[in-house]
Amino acid sequence: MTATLTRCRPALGTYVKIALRARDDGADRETLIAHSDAAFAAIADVQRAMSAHDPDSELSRLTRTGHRAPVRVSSDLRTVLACALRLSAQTDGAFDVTIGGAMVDRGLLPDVADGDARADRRASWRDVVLEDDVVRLARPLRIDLGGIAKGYAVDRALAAVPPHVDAVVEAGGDLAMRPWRDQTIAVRVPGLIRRDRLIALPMRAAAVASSAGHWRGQPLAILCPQRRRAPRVRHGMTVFAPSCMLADALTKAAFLAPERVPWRRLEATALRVDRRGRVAVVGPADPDGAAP
Amino acid sequence: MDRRTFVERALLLAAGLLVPARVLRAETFFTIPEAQQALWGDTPLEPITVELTREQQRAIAKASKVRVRNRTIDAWKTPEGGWFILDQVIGKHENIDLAVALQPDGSVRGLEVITYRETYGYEIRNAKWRAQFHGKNHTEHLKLDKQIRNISGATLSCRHVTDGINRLSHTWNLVLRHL
Repeated sequence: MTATLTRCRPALGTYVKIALRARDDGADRETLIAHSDAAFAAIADVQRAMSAHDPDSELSRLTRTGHRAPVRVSSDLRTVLACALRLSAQTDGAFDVTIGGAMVDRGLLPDVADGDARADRRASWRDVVLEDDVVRLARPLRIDLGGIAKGYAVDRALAAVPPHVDAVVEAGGDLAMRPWRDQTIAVRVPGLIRRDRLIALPMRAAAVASSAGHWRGQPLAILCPQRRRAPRVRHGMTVFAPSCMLADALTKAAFLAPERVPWRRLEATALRVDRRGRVAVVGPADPDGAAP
Repeated sequence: MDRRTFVERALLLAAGLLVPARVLRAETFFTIPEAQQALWGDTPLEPITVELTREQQRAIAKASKVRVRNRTIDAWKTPEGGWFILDQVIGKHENIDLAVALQPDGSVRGLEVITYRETYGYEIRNAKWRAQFHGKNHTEHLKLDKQIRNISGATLSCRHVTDGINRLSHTWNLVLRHL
């Protein structure tokens, strides 16, 4: 019999689920538990490095000192910052991790700054300079990786499981799986708490991320980098992409400026799910190109 | 069939058509022994059921600012004074069964979710739109539990876990450490 395992732990501010299935008879449940330990350890690494809530995280240290002197960063932080900055350039700032200052102003993030590290309101992604593994901040600013690091944690967890084991890793809507072809997922229709509904969608890439406006009456925790406030939306956005890091980040850009995202070049698809469960392709804009 | 039975049945039928089906989805992850193994390895665990008095219940609620819903605590104790506790917190609308391991000094050693429950009103929409991806063999009525295991939606915060941990820390401080 093929061994399977599903395991769930609170992490990354949500519930992280890992499902594993051995493809051959070699791996028993014990082995799968060891693989899941490795996957959860990868998630804990990412959380320790990139939490904007933890004043001792690598990210918080970068925030406090990066404008005074260049800071050498871990390969995890470098990977995520590189992806974020690339996406900022590609979308002309529709995705921008320096939104952290505005998140603090709105009480969405705790203030971990001290002294002169208070975020400059004019700061943008252009003020984050990444050269190899060294980061320099051109002015005091606050980086929030809340819109991308959870997806990266999912990618890292999936990569921690050996390739001969089928795996699904999910962290509160950010999901990556292997293999993904011919798989179906359910997407939660945005709406009120007691009226949760699901619609079925075929997987279109290895990873998917969903975000919803006004879920449970909460305003969207996504701020527009230019206007520094949350867009008023009542629909949800589901993005398929080759990596969960990209899918996670692109849900923000899909809300704010889908027309600026090079969907096809990124091999990503964005779907808009409204409160009645109707689905429409947001990107790529040409729907013929969106079909697999 | 008399008139009254007919009306009753007609009403039941109408209600069934109007109210979308509700699905309770309960996912069980680790069994209790597996959670014990994951959190405490081969450390022996002695089962202890703790009954909180009303005074203790009030004191814990006051100290943690979290309501104490259950006065019975399903717990196991290690020889060194560590704990393995089965607890429940509210998820989105249903209870989540949680295993919590506390170190002998009361700090959190680890957490595992045992059972996760969610309720959905389940509907399949947009058959035409989706048919283009599924091809001719596309199944219209996918069963939530069987075919679809993975759900993507807005992030559900685990704030209630944080509250639950806070409540258990105060439970440890006021009660368990003295046992």
